[in-house]
Amino acid sequence: MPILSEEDRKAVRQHFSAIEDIVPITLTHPLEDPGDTGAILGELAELCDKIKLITVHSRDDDRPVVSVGDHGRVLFLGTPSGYEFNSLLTSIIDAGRRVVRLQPETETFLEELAENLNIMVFVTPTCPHCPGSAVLANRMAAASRKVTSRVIEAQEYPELAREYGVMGVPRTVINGKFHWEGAVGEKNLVASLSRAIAASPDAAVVNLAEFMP
Amino acid sequence: MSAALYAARYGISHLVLESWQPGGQAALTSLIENYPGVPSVSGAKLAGLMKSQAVEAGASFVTETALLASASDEGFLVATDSGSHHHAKTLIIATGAAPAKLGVPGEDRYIGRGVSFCATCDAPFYRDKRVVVVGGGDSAVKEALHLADVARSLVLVHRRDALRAEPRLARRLVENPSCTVKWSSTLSAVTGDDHGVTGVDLNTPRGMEHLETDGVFLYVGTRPATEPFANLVELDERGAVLTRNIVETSVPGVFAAGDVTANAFRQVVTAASDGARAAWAAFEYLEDRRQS
Repeated sequence: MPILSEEDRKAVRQHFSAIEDIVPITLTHPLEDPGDTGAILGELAELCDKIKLITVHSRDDDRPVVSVGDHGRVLFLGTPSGYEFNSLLTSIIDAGRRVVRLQPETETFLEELAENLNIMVFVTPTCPHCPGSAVLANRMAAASRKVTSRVIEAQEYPELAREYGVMGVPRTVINGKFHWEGAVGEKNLVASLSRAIAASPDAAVVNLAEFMP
Repeated sequence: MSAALYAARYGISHLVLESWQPGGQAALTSLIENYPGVPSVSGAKLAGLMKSQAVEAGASFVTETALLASASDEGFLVATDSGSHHHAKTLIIATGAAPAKLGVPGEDRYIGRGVSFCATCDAPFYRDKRVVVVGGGDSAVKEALHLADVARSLVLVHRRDALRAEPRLARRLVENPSCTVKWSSTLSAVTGDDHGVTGVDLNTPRGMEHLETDGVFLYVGTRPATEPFANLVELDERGAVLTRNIVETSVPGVFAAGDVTANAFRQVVTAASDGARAAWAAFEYLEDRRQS
């Protein structure tokens, strides 16, 4: 039985009509049966002939990882369900569009980046604020070779959630050091991150809110 | 959402600018039991149903956040975070509200590390832990009941000696064996260490009291999301849109609906009603202009 209702399929098909280029999606999964994530990705691939789904079996971990695009810089760790389904859909559409949906300040920031940025966005499927942060990180990663984005389902990755002190979502952690709590505004994140990188504080953990303009 | 549904059904050429999730504050509500015709439903599910119904009726949604609205020669101009500028003859402001902060020491420091405004988002992190909820309205009590299902213990801190929430909800909380209420008490500080929240300081009728806790959920009112409209329409001291006849703002052609308005009694059902009225008022406004 399909996961998406006929109504959902119709809506998704309409969203996918914005896709212009081929979008490779790689699902890394440990089992022969790729589970709910595999099923949902399969259904999405059926709705748009530009989506190319590749399934890779790996026994390294027992949780699914979804990579959107051919660069490996946009990753979903854990099942993108609930509100995170929106993040997945938006990131697929972004990957297939030729227009970069970032503000000019963000594009300049990315062009001038001296060091790589590894962004982690911790989410839960019941968090309506999370897709904004997840999609922004994914857009930055898609736009720059120096950025990687991992959207992490905190309940499926409790060891990462513990390591990075996640007690609320969304929590954005950049290079393991800079963090931002709650829904992120693109202008504020980029402005404060840019200031924080320039200030190069010594502390192991830095709240980006302290660098808000 | 109801403004979108009615605008679509009235055949008004329209665009709905939606930030990330449909449903705003309602989508953050774990359980809604007072929406007529729907005995019990999660906020997210109800918001999803409303959106599907609006889309089915022909409503057009785009995922863009309004940054600035201004008057223009043709009517109004709305700039959004995607860099677009949308022109319209009439506007409906239905941007809702965000949770308010208490403004006490420690609150900002521990946001995301024990201080939360969203039980539906963060409840999974508090399984078998101690939780404090601050507030006494419908949201505070509903979310306290939701958290009580997962937490080891829950203390509700309320500044008055009776809950403002619906009596039915209030009774459920008071009768819940894992919930305790600190009446006539206010939270004066959030304390913690490098890892997160460890406790709260309370002003109680018996004096200052320190309570150990792993998390603090705040439901102490809302801040209307009116920043993009601050130079367009008249706001009250709280920043809410002032309206006449429920949905008419100080600017002809601009209407407001739901929690963004200064109207008292903010419920999903009243917001839905406002949205329908706002769409109808917009329709009438466009008809009047067309005929004149």
